[in-house]
Amino acid sequence: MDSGFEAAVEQYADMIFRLAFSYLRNRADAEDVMQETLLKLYTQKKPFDSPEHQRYWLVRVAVNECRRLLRSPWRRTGPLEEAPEIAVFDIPAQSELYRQVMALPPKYRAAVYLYYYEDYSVQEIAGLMGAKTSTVQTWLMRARGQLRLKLKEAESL
Amino acid sequence: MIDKDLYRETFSRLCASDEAKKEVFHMMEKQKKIRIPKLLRGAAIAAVMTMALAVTAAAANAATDGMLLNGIMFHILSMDENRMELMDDEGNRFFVTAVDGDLVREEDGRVYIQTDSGDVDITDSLLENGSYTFECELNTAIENGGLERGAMEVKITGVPGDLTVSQKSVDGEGNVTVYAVAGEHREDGDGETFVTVSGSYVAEDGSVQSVETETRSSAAADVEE
Repeated sequence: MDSGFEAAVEQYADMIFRLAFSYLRNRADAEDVMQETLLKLYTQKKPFDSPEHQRYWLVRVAVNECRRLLRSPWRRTGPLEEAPEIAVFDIPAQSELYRQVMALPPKYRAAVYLYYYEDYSVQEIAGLMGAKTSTVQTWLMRARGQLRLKLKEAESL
Repeated sequence: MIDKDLYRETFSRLCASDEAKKEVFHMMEKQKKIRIPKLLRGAAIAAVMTMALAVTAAAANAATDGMLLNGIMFHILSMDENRMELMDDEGNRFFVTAVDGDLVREEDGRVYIQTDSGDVDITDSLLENGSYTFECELNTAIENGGLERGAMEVKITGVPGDLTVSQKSVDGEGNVTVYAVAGEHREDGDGETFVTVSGSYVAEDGSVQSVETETRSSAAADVEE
């Protein structure tokens, strides 16, 4: 077994899965993307300049895989109204945040994940998602706006 | 403003299953056994091969109206770096000829296409626009070894290290066929060679049809040339 690759799977599998799940809202599809992306890493022959370079490359490939799946006529589709709860949350606030984030459009969800979880800058996200910086700023602004509104509504109930 | 800590705590609960992670290693082991020959590496090769398969399959199965390639077996009579001679179960023989080298290649993180006047670096254009499209001419030997010259539009999308190459060809009657093709070659322990070509294309009625066919060389010894 290639120990370097094993370490990479250990290190990046969940990151790729979370990004893909944020994008696709489907566990099976997200796991497919995770596997496909890691296999591409395995077959990638050129060395990376740094761990950051490798991480950036993985995220870029995962985004591409997600897009490919979204375009695919054979994609598994589930109910659109609500994302499945695939984790157990400690407090209602987590559950509510998850529900409302997953109700956002796919690009918003992915941008929010990359910004708030992976700490990528707006400019980096633009590069990763093949969009303009101003477009990513708009996605994040709208996502924040929608979440603020929905979470406030949920609080007042 | 999104509460960053709450977001991180919430989404840290999302994890890939252990089974899915383990499966990566199984897939990796399988990948090790696959050796892709030069014949199948280039985008043009895959397209040419699919065209040739489509032509032969059409001849053999015209009545199936679109779903031409499923389940058809071909026998490899001979194969070298650039040329493959195949025969279907009904004895129809044809050749698949590769263009000289790969149409699209990657080197040091850059993407190049091969043209008559030399290699052209398309990396910047690809990164800027998300895709790059060009047209090329192909000399293809199909059906009984006859040479056919055709035009093909090649579209490259993605980023270096993760490219998707699709091809669109227009026949003499203006019919457009779009291919997104993957080729795979493997050998088993008994020296049998398998070539799988899979992908999708747009049929005349506009519907997307999936294509998958497998070629094996084990029968080569059984077939008289």
